[in-house]
Amino acid sequence: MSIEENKEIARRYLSVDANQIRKDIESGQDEFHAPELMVHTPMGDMNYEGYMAFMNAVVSAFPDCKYNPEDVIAEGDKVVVRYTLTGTHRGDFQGIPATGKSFKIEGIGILRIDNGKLAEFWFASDMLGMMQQLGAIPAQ
Amino acid sequence: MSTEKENKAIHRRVYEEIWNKGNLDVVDEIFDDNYIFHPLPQRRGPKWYKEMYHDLAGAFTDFHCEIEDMIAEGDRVMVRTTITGTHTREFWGVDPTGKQISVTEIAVVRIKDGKIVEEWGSPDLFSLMQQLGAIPSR
Repeated sequence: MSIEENKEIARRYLSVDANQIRKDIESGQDEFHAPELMVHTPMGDMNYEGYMAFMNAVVSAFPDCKYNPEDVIAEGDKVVVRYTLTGTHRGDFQGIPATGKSFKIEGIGILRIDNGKLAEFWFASDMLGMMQQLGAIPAQ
Repeated sequence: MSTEKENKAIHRRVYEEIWNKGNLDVVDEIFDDNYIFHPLPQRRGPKWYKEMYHDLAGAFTDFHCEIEDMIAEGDRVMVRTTITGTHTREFWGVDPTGKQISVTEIAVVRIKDGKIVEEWGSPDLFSLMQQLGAIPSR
């Protein structure tokens, strides 16, 4: 895979509707993730099953959540995507009942692509900003 | 040297010389006068960067940034770091806790003519505030 192909895969992964990805996985058609997937998050490292459970929880809480890629750079087998993430709080999230509030935050992800599949993923989103916008913690 | 290699070397100095050694002369050397820190565009310039340095390095003894990965293309450089330190002075209204913190930051900078002109930072402030006990851990 060329760097340009990897960039295209990363851009597509972060543009597709999260609900669609979930449906594809449930029907056994996972287009994006490698089985040996490792995701590094502020809540700890997650394997394939752990990450799918996490995505399910996020999509249940924010059914319209969506990444919007803003900038993409790449080197070797890694692609960096700077994104905005938006969503509306419609279900329980980490013990916080639905508020109906929307959030818009920024973040950066690093995706390692192996043979056209996402094999490793680091991401840092502005969780503090999100919790403040949902009113779960006071704004500074 | 390629542009990417030169730009990585400049970005590396931010962590190794400014944050890890406290050499603030490097701020004036490699930050553009109109440097902008996103997503807080009202924060700009080398003077503000030094204030941020004092806020953080002043509150956390042994403040250290370990570079874990760098990726560059064209005029942008990404760095992923692990930031560690001990909370010994007031930080953002949180009194000293004596706690050791460890958080990840991913940042992208844009470099023009050897100077950092823009930065998009994503420090994990949520985990930081949890580790300081200012936000409950779930």
